[in-house]
Amino acid sequence: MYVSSEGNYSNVVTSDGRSRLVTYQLGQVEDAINDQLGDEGMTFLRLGRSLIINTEYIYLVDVTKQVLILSDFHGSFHELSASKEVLAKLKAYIESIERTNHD
Amino acid sequence: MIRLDDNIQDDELRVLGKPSPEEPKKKGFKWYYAVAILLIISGVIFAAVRLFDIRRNEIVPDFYETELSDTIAMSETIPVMEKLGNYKDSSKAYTEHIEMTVNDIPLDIYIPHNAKPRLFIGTPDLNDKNVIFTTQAADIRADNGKINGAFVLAGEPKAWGLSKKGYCGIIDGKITIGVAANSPLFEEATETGGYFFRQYPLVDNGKLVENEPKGKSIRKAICQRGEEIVVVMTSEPESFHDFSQALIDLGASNAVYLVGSASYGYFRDKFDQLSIIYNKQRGGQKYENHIQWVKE
Repeated sequence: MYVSSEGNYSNVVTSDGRSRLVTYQLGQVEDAINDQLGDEGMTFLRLGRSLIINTEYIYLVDVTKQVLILSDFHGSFHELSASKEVLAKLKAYIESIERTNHD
Repeated sequence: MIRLDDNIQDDELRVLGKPSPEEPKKKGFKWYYAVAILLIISGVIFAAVRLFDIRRNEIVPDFYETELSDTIAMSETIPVMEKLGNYKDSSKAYTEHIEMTVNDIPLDIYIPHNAKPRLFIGTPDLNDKNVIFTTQAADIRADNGKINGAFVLAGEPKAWGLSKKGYCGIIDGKITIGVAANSPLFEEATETGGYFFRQYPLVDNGKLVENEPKGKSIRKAICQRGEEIVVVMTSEPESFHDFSQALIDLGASNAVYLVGSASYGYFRDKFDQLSIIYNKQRGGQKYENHIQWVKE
């Protein structure tokens, strides 16, 4: 669901609600996603220095309140905070992705 | 793997899944400039083509609606509920096709009879005579090709997420259409072997729901009209607003969008005659999905 930076470690939170502290810096996690997932990794976004999120779990982006909520849509919510600038960019990014459908 | 230089600022956003940009080598400057110029030229051409395409066909933007506007208008006149369909034949599975004009908007209305609704992932086979009606349901994400928004197929969740507030659930063969950020139908579908997908909300309890995309396109929707469930399609490109208003004037109490434009679909009439609404798209998508009615 998301990975947050904990100094020289990273906290990996999965959609089943479990979190694991791993001995990798966030940049190393980013590299691993890039190297191992390829295009599939485009589901993930790096938000500033301290967060990597899976966009499939975005529930709410509130730029004003600097709140980002991720959810597994089964009743589990994770409220995260990030800078207004990066949340504004996140919102713009999401809104800019065009569907391949012919709506 | 030691990464000493984590080159990102707190206000930056980076899409992963692509190789990290490397420092340009001095010898490669001219090469990079050439590639950059080519990219810019390609970008301009692509943007021009897209702009032309958008103006011509109105491809609706934004797969994620964070600011769906509020309900704005109440239908003033909801017609007396006479059923649209002909229900005299109670045994044969077929699709009734009605052409009707509402507020100068020509509509094609499809009413499946004596058949069971379901969702389907893939490209339906025209030769499958059990299918009496099929049309594309949930949108596909452009970034990863997966289904946009929560989707349950025969009890199995295939996608998660709130992309749009409209939903359609099928539990024990009964279709429920509504508007909610969280719907217990998702869980119910997973527990009962049912189906669930999300789309743009169009009509919520007789009220028109405005949506962000403002252009015109062929519009499609699944509607609840009294006790009837009907699929409605415009013959001509229409705006979301005019389409939603036409659905209200038709008597729809609840309606959500279906993949519009020339999306694939077909039906079989009372005489087992197959009619293709719009043909298959070239280069089908892995997660193309349909709402369809099949013989029981």
